[in-house]
Amino acid sequence: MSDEEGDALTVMVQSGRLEKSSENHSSFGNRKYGDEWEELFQLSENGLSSLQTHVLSMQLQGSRLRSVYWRILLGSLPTSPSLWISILRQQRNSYRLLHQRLTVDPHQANIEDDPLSQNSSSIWNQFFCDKELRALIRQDVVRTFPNEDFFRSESIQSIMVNILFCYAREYPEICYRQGMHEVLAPLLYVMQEDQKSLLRARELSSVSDRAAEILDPAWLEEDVYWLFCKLMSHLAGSYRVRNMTPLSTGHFPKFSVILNSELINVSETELTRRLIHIRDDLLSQFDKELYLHLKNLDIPFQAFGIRWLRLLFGQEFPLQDLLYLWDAIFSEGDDLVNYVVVSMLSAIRDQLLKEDDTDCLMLLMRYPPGVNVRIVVENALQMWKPEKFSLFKEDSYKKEQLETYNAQRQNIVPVKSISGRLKKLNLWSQKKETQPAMQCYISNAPTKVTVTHKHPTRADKMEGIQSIVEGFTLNDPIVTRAEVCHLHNLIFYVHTHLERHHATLEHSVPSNLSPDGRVALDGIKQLCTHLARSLPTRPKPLEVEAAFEAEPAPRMTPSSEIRNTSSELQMNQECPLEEIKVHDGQLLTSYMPLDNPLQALCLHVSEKDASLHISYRRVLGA
Amino acid sequence: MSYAYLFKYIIIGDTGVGKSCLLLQFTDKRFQPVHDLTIGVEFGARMITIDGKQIKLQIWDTAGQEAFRSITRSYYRGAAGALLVYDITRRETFNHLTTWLEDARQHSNSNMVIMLIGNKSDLETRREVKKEEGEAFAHEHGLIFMETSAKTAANVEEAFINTAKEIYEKIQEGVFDINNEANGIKIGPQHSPTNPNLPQSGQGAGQGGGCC
Repeated sequence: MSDEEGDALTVMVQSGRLEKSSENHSSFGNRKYGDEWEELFQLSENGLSSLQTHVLSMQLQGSRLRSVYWRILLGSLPTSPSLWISILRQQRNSYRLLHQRLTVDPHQANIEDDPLSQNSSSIWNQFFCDKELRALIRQDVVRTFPNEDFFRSESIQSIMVNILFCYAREYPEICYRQGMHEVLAPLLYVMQEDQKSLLRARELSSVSDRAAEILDPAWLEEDVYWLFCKLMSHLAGSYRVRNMTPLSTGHFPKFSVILNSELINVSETELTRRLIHIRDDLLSQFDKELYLHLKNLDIPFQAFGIRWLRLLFGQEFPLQDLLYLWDAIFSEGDDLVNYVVVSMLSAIRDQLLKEDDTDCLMLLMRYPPGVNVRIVVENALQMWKPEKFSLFKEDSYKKEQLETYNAQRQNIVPVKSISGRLKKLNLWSQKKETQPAMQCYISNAPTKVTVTHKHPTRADKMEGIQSIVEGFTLNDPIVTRAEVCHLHNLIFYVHTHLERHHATLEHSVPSNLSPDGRVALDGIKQLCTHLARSLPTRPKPLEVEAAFEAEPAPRMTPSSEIRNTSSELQMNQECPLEEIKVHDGQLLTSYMPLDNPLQALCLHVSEKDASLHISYRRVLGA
Repeated sequence: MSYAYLFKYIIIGDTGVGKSCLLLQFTDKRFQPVHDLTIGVEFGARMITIDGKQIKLQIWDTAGQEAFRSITRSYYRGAAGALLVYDITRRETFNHLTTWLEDARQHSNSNMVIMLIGNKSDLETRREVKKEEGEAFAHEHGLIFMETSAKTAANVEEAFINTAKEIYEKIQEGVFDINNEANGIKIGPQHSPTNPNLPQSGQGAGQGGGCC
């Protein structure tokens, strides 16, 4: 977004209400998509350094072309846009061939080959090894981001297995190792989101052929493969273990074999050397006090560092934050990664300095969710190249980090498993909030309002930004009330449906139901009771803004799965917006479908034809 | 919080047998049907009481894949207890126990207490490994044995606590050198750091002791 647009948004925000003209909105959405491409072409023509500047200033937050930027930054596409199409075609074709070559079925092969052969050149032997390798990969793939529906889809899982399998066969010395699936996952997610955005934009107006070919959804697997290979070429060192090469089944040679080959002292891997360098050369230089503290407590850097580096911080940050971190890393290269580690430690230094060894480990192994990724990146850049990135003074950094952290600590227990995941879930869906129609934030809020994806000016920073979501500070009582309200609705919804499903089951199960089945049924009943008991008194309904309604959704019954309504909504977000009257302002119900608590998902029935309408609306201040 | 002793544990076993779920159930009393894959190690801690004494457990939960074995090995040395886990619904995870056990014995101190755990006992209908087989394996190799369910929490407390009891008894018998932290045991800050008799006699007995 250009500065001008940023200012325009600020003005709109300050006037207190979003401009309501539907025309403005849809045209804004259209123009922007084409503009995003124009901007990308222009930047790319100007060379890598102008791309890097663009990326580092957080311009990709909310961008619908992130996957294309990443391809250029990682070198999967050259900077010259005129070459993109021919190179893409070549890549796509060669992946198809590769995939074909690697999935030879010996039943079809016209070769005399013994199915029991152990010979490594035997097709049958290869066939069985491949089968084992695929099973090994699948076992991990099904566990990718357990809480994200996107990765539960079978088609997504099989794309992941295919890509990882092809990579494993192409790079046998690395093969497949645990963690690679979590490196792949965000790439796949981003690419698929971009392709979806293209489809949505195309529904509204024409999109250039070049854009359509670059983000053609038919080539999801192929395009992600090449991006993944590029990324892995940087990460391979973090996966390699000296003298240890996996078999083509993906398994490693048996323990006894390894023993013979001096492997006992092999804690000395590339990764551990790197972590020692980070600790002894970098941390000690930038934060002596913290360095000594961790050293005195004998905190093993491998314990957390291996995961940090192998997954490129994938489990440490919510997705939306992670994507920004990756923008910076892809833009600046591997060296920055070491400084990100130092910066992440530094970001929680005050906590760490207070704690004993167990609690320090706990903090590091379950990195607290409240840390501001933007500051982590900025600090890392400054440590790395102070002359180039000396935008902010160190003391303001520390002050702000402390404020943010303290503000968030009030709400967040530093335990990854509960609050971290919840937060992750919320931010996961932020991508859709930053779609054009959702880009402005209104200011009925009691606190300072910000346009989140606008690069903060120095003045912003000096004022000390607190963490702001949709114009509310995180510790604002309204936020808490919104959360309570939504949780109430969620419990209520789950309770009603669970009871209904239970009743259905009770009536339809055979009389000779197995004891296990009976236990399960009784369990469901028991859950219903628990839920009913824990249902808090219904809080006062939240006030929501009068909505711009999306097109009426296809007819749905209120009992449809929350998931459906939410994805339906996503589809509609960029449809021409049309304001329709809410039936005497009555809100039938509102849900929080795994989403930002400050956006109510509203359902209401049209007076005219009793059709059901669904909309996201913003929660208003008190 | 102060404690009398700190014991370090390690959890080992094939991928997907439920190591992280056991830890989560023990430390947070929760079950997560699909758990994030462990990359490298995970860590958890909890206080328990044995014989009226506060004991802090520090638990290292390791990744199952062979590629991580060299990392896993570095955690054996400082562990007083190990939970060796297999999945009763997957025969191959039971078949791999010997490898795990060799690895553990090779790299740990000889007094490390090993508890064999057959996890997922709630999935009776999918059982592939009989309880008797687990018992026999444990008996043959001198391990304590239990079947657990991280899902229903059955026997989870017991598994961690019984292991601690065994370690505690060994300390009482003087088998462990509690002044050597490499054994995975640390005396709490509230205790006088040395009982002049215990460590020396402990070391002596330790050499002859062996594991069970």
